[in-house]
Amino acid sequence: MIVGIDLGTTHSLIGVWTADGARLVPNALGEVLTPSVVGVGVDGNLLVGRAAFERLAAQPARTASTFKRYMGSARETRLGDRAFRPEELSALVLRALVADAEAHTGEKATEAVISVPAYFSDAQRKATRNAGEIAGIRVERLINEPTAAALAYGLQAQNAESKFLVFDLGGGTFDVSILETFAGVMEVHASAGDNFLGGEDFVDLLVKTALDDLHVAPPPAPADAAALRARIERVKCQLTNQASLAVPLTISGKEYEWNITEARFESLAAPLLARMRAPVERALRDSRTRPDELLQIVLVGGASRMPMIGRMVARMFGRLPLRHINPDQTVALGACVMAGMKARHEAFSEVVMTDVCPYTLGVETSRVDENQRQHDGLFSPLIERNTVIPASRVSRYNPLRDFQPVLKLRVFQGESPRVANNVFLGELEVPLPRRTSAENPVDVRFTYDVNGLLDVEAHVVATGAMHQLVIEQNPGLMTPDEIRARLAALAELKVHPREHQANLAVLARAERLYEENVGPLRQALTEHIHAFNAELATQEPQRIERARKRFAEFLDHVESQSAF
Amino acid sequence: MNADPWELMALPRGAPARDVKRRYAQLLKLNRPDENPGGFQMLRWAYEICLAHAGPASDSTPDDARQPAFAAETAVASVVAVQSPPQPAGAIEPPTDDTPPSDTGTRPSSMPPPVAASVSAHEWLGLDRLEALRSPVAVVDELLAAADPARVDGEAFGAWFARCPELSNFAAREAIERELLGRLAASDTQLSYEAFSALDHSYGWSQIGFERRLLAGGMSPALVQRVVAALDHCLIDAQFARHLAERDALFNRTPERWHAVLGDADGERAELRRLHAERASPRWRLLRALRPSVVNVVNQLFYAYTARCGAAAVDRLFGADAVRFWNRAHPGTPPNLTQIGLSALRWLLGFAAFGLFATGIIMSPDDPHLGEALRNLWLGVFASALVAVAGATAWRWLRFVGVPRYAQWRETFKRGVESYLEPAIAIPVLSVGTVAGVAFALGDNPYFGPGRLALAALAVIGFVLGGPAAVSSAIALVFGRYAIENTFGDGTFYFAAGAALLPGFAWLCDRIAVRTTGWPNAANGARERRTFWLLVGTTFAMLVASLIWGPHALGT
Repeated sequence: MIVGIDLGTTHSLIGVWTADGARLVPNALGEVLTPSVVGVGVDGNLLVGRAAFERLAAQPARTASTFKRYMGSARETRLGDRAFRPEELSALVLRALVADAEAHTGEKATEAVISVPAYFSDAQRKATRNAGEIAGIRVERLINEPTAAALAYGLQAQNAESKFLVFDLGGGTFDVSILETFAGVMEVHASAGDNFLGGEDFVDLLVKTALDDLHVAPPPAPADAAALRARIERVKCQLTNQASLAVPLTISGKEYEWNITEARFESLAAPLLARMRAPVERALRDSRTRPDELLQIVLVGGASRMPMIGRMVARMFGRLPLRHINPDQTVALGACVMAGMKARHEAFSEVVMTDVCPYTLGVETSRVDENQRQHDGLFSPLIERNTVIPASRVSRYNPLRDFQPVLKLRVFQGESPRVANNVFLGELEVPLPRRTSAENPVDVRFTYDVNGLLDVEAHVVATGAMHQLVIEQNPGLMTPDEIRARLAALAELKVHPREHQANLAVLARAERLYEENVGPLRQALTEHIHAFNAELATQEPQRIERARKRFAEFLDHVESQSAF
Repeated sequence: MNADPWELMALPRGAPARDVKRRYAQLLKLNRPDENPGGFQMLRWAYEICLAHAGPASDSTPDDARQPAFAAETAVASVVAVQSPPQPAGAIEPPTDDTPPSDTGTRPSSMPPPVAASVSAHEWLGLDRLEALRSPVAVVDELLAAADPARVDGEAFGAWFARCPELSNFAAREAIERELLGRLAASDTQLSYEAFSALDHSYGWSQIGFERRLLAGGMSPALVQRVVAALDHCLIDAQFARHLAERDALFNRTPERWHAVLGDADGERAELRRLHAERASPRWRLLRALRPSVVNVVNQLFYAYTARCGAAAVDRLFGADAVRFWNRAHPGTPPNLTQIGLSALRWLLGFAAFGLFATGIIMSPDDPHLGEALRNLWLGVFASALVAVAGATAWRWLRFVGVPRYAQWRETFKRGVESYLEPAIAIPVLSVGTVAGVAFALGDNPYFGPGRLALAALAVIGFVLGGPAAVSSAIALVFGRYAIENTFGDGTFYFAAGAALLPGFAWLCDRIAVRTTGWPNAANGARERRTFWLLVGTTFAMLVASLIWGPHALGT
């Protein structure tokens, strides 16, 4: 069975393609959205998903979230007594999702299609694929999130030529893609984006505004800061429905009342909104599309629920965007569609999709000008951005000096003519025979495969030697041995079983509500917690499940009665 | 590729774009990118060429299958009426029939319960709160006020740019750009550097195809040219203003004589400001050019500014004829009238001043011969004018021809010798040469015997390769032996020679080490440093060994 997974910054989803179409799979708590959070419990065992999310405010030092932003780098997060790479944290989430899917459908998942932001770099894509390997599932296909959104909306079913713009604002990333469909072909013309712009940045802005308004310093204790942030996040969601709010906040033990209106939020967020202009302009320019040629604008991503986003899109294009599918689920549904296409379900024999690479790739070169001055650090592009993938390009380079023993190829991606402003991908060393520079050219071939992953080949013309070289020395990437080692290590980690995670989630939620409320609600909560623990002690699965459902309903009731 | 793209696509040449696309769609299903990457790449190559050379569309069948396009509206308020189905915000609704309902009514527990009433999209977005768009003229007025380079706060433009609502609407954006470009072309408007780079980044003024876009938008070619020129000038002025305002200097490593003339980055900027002010009036140029250091400094400044901002910027900021004057005064250019005239003038003025000074010292004002002396002095000045001109010309030519030639010879020699600095060749040659040379030198013969010549030759090679330490070796060798032996007695010469030669040889070993290991540029310096000291130690040991056993071997 091939599954489609949306591995998001804040939430992840999994689903399959069935005969009735794309179906998302609920987790042990019956929810389709699983938070991308990993935490360590009091007994040292790992919690994944909702259980860890509820503890995020109480124990921020023992919980990791938004690690998607660190994919592609070597940044390690310390949880308990062990340091985790972002690939391992993603692998834990993936494992939990796959377990949910297998439990729901009863079939074994062999392969997965994982969504990545269209603007993810080569290192970030490889890290995503490695995360799948560490989780023990084969990842043969990565799909770009805007393309998945287009699939979810069924845009490929258009008969005539039409162009679309997909505007995807997720928890941590922002992507823009311009697609064209005709006769069952869906082509991506251009992709652009910002890997550090998402709903989380809006929450950061609100937290800073609240602290400035109340003239309070940021709470020093991490638990307090995390609790405040969780509160403000709920405020952000509330502002979607209500134009103005009076929010009671508790910071470092003191009570405050904070007023915020949606109009003020929008004006404060103007720089963030302005950051969204540049990728849209770049995508339109690269695909040589005029705004009036677009048939539809599609809004995707949880953060696009904010009315200011819809308003900005309406301002940009003079029309309302399309968003009738739940924006949280769109990408995952698209990934399921892709999984179905990969499994070659009959519905998809008439549909083909092509995608583009979002970055220009090249090597670092030097040039000697007519005054015998040597200019170093120049970027020579090999594959231009928005080339349809898979693509393969060759270019010939000569060594700088005569009798050079080794040619150092440094691979960069980016748009600037100087490598200092571009992103370093890796370095390759090609041994050269002893020849003068003019007699010693080297053909360098870059191949982008269909997932947007790079392969580099160097061919020394003088000797005819072919060097298929692996890009190394990038601290963000893991070697295959490392992946195997991590896979083995992860298997030994103690993670709470799936069903027990659901129970822990409900208990953690109750604890959080206990901390947030006062008075009679606290007493009621304590009684219910005791009752649930008693049910857990019976160890009968049906009873526990019924008790959990009742408990969850009670907690919903408590939350709706909360201060705001 | 040698294949014909039209044949690959099985289309007649010049087929219309729609047919090309349909054929591509058909073939794409047989050559899917993930199954047949090679075939797909060939198909894509052929498709792009055919699409670029597609013929005109046949007008018979319009695109009737096309859905009615949503009309692009510039005023957002009129969008209210129809388009997307009304929906309550935050609730979960079933998607369209293509993708069946997927979740079973759950939601993240952190989300509050959805708003009960069904709100129209218009109200939900608050579209009536959207601002009416202003005219481009008003927006451009505001833009120019925010972009004024005289403003102190550099962030003002960024803040305004982020908040301006018209810039979000693509139709209004283009109108604003047209208005702004028109104003820039009409008058010499100044923009701050931040403003210019933000607008450039946003509109793509420096990207390829900018002029094509303007022409396609209906601008006349003459106006496009004026616009491009105006943008260049605007950028040059903005860059200069920014450079004058910031702290960093044009040169990163200031040479010492720079300090003597300019002081530091502030002095450099003051000089640039003065040159910029002088571009209109050449009044002080000649006087300042009489000092060669000033000529050098000005030329270095121009050179550095050209490297940073381009020759056109230098011409515009400092005046084309001023730039030409300073260039011609520089010794790096072929000797010309300006240089020779300046040199001769300097020489003459110096001679005259010295003569006057000498006359004033030697003779008193009452001296009857004073007048005669002064007359002789001025006659001498005029007579020596010819000598001055001839001398200046000769000196200029010598400098112009000699200095670069010498540098060229040095480079050629270096490059020729470099390949032989491979350790496999160089270490045996060096060892044999050291032993032989020292052995010969120990032979008992007068000053210019073959041994000393050999050692002198080695020292000369070291000097040519750039080792200043080898100069001391040569001097010690050729001229110091007699002096040292007379002063300190026999035998000390050999020790002194070894000590003097060692820096030269150490330098040679260092070159070898750099060639082989890339030290000190290599990342793993420790290993490379060990190699270097190994080479130095080996050479020193060989030198000492030949000093001790050489005489025995040769029987002296």
